[in-house]
Amino acid sequence: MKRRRDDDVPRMDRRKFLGTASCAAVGTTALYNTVLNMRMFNALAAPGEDYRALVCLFLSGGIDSYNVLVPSIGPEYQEYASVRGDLALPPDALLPITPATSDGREFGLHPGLPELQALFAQRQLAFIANVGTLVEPTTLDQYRRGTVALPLGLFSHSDQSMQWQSSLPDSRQAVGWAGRMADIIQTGNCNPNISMNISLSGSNIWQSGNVTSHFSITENGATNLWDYGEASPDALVRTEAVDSLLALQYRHLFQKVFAQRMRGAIDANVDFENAIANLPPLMTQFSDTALSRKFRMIAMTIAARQALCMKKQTFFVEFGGWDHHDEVILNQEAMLPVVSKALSEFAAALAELGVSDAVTVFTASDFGRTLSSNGRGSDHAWGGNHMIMGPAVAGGDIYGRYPSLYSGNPLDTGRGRLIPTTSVDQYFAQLALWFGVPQADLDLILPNIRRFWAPGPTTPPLGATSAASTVARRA
Amino acid sequence: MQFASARGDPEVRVFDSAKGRAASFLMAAQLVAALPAAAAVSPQQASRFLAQASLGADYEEIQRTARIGPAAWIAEQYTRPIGYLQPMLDERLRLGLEVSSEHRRWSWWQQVMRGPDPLRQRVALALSEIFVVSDANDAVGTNPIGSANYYDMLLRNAFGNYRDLLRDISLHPMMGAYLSHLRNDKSDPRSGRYPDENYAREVMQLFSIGLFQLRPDGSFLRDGRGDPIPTYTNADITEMAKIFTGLAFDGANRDFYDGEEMWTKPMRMYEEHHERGAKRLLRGRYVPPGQPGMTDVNAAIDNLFNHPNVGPFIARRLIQRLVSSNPSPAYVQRVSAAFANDGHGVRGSMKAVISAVLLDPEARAWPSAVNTTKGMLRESFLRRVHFARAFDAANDAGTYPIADGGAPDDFGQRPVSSPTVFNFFLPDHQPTGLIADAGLYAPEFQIVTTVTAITSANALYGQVRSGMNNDENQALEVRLDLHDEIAIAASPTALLDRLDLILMYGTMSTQMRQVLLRALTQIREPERRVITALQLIAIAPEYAVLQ
Repeated sequence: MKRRRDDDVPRMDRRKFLGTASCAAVGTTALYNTVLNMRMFNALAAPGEDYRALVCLFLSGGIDSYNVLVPSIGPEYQEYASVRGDLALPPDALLPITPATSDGREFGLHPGLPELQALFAQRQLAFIANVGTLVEPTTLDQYRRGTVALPLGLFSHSDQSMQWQSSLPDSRQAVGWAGRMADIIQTGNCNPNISMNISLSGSNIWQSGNVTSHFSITENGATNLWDYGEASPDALVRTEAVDSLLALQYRHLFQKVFAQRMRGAIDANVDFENAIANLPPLMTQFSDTALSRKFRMIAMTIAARQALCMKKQTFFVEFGGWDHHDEVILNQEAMLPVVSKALSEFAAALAELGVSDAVTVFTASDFGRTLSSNGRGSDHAWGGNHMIMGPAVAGGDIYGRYPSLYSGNPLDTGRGRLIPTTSVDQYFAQLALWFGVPQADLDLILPNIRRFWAPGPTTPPLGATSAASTVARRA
Repeated sequence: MQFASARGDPEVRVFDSAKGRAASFLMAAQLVAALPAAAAVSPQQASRFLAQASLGADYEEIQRTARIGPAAWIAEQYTRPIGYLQPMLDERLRLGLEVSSEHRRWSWWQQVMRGPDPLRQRVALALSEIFVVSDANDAVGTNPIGSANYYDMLLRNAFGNYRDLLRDISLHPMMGAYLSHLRNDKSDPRSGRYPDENYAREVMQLFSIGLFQLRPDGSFLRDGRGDPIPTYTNADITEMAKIFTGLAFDGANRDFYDGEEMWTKPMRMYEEHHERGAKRLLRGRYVPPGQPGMTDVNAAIDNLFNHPNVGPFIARRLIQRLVSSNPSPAYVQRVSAAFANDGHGVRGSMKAVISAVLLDPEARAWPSAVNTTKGMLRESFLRRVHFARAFDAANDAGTYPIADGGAPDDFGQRPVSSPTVFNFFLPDHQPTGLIADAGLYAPEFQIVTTVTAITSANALYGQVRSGMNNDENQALEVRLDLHDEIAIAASPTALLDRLDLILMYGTMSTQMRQVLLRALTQIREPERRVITALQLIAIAPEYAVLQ
């Protein structure tokens, strides 16, 4: 299989950087700018620019998303039922949806998603069909003959989850596209201690930049240094000692920088804690699941945006356990309602805060899964269906090209591993443009985008809505 | 080992003869200064040496090493048996117990804490951060026996020859799965398929010669315009990729594509899937057409092994892992000379290289009060290991069931769990600000973030207070043994003297000591006093930097 890699060890060329940090205490969230990047910086960080937040819900493990968005009647349902075998959902269980544009096919949602069905009907939620990692536009013939560069480590969790975050399927770089945005626009947020990229799920590639890193919180908020800043006698002793140690004058450069980083980290978490502590309580009720609690904390953080001095933010939240090689039906029955409830509760909280027009949530996952069953489960595959909730697209529609599902269809590389018809680059370009990245600078964030989409005044990266567009059909 | 005879030990002579020709006189003179009479050194010098040469040492080992001296300690280490990881997993299999990556970590901790070979364990961990495979990868993560076997291969070769190391890495099925040359088929002109170039690239860029041609002192050779000269082109990668075709599992059924998975045997060559035809190697060498595939592989390994870059390339990486982020060119040159010739005409002796790294005058020179740049930031996760080893962490069963499940988030690091083949941090990472402005490298800062700065301090705080594995069974909780420290805790000064020696080789500044004394005198209960002292040292900038 021919594979291509363009990267070498990522290097920082210091000559590229004009400015250096005035707030170097931020640790790796240092500030930097280049002449090249000033336009984007200005576009994203200009005073008065509206607040925007982008939330990535990463369904890790590789969700079986052809049981999330399902052709619901007619020959398309028969194709679905036939290829999925024991994994097929019964047609009367599907929750019907009515896309704004249609080629005549009808679709339904998994029965565990009633809240998302309602959000779709209210035009707050959209689907993107058969999206996945591509190095370049790829046909089945090219795939079979090996004449096209394919994503590295296709069908493997580690490579594909990395590429879904980096949008660089032809390399193995642990730098994500939100990280690349933060490298450029971090300074637009006037709080020097807290990164614009906030994670509810710890380290992740999406938010890792070349020089910036994420700020991590839990469902309860900031991560504080233990036994620090509290009122107990022991904590008072320790707090004074820690503060004194970090305030000493160090001659060794490494000691000096380590002290700065530790100080900056402690202050960031204290800042965050204070900003959240002074908020009025959220009225919206959230379910008692880890995912809902995390979305609640995201809503709280957005509510605190002025105290935190944030104009642009991204949030990363992971919900794992979708690698259903076995019992996909039972597992999805239990897990999809968790997603449905959390997203609708989050939508309600955004409405309560009056920021529904400023926040977009999108889903991502390692890969889609095989259409064919391995006996109650499905295996690693390629293209899959995803969701956008919020103003980055017009809701109530299906974007991209929902494929035919019959075995041996023109996208089927075997066992229903479908070649994506929309690349992750197009998907993310749509989101990045909404977030405020100027069209002309998009390839700083998504270096491969021009292989799939030519920036222009008319057609957005995800195209017009779609079900109407050409679909891979049985000959 | 009797220390009087240490300097006459043949293993030590490897070092003596490893120095560069021009520098030999000066170096010998400095060595004599560094290793007086019976090679004994001060406890402070021994402590600092062990901080570089091991994953941490307790008070007794520091005192013992002070008596015999660093050279004898190393010589003794070269004779020790090897603390392999795989046997414990094999035993679990035999008992019908679960075996996962977590159990490989148990085995790692067992050998790091109780194994006979502290220097070998230290070097193998360094090698695992150069010749990276990671259990973040599906194949590595789901084959713990294979990844233990890979780590054991690093342990075995740590004191062997770099050429064998490079061959064993290249043929290990874990590496084959990680960098996708396992089942890498020959090209097919009809379909236009080409061999996978992944391993061909990384074996050159990351495991042997690097991107640019180097002088023996590690500096770049430059062309007429002053630019660095690449070591290879993309066409070279394409040629090298042909070499690494035809390798797959060595299962009994001898099937290239569907062979039985054999993760503990080197990959086997399947001639019918190996690229035929001549192939170009680097520096004007070729392999002829039609020879057996494994002969091609060996020729390519030799071609890389004999490249002049390997010495300075490996020298800088090992120095960075063990001693200093910014070695002087002369230091790199002395180590690369040891790589080129161990004194007996042997190239690639790992013992010669390790001795040269650790016994070099620049490594042994006591950090001066005006030093502002020498040394390195301690690796985040290695602070955890250091505290465990310095205070003989143990449970009642003598086992180390430490899962380290939270370590990647807490420390940004966990052995054999790197996010990519580029390790947790890059050798050329320059933190923006003071360090980059000074033109210095500081790889370990790459994983000290606004988050891990706090979470790693909290993890160490918890480790000191309550243990290392949060085991439901308290008898299995691995705890630090602080009895000797508690016994002297009535005197904060005596306590700090001891902790300073063990953890900071006696370099704690007066100011830092005053801060700690002020805190400790407010805490009466002896155990709490000791724990507080350790928790403050764990967060202190002076401890964080190994000068």
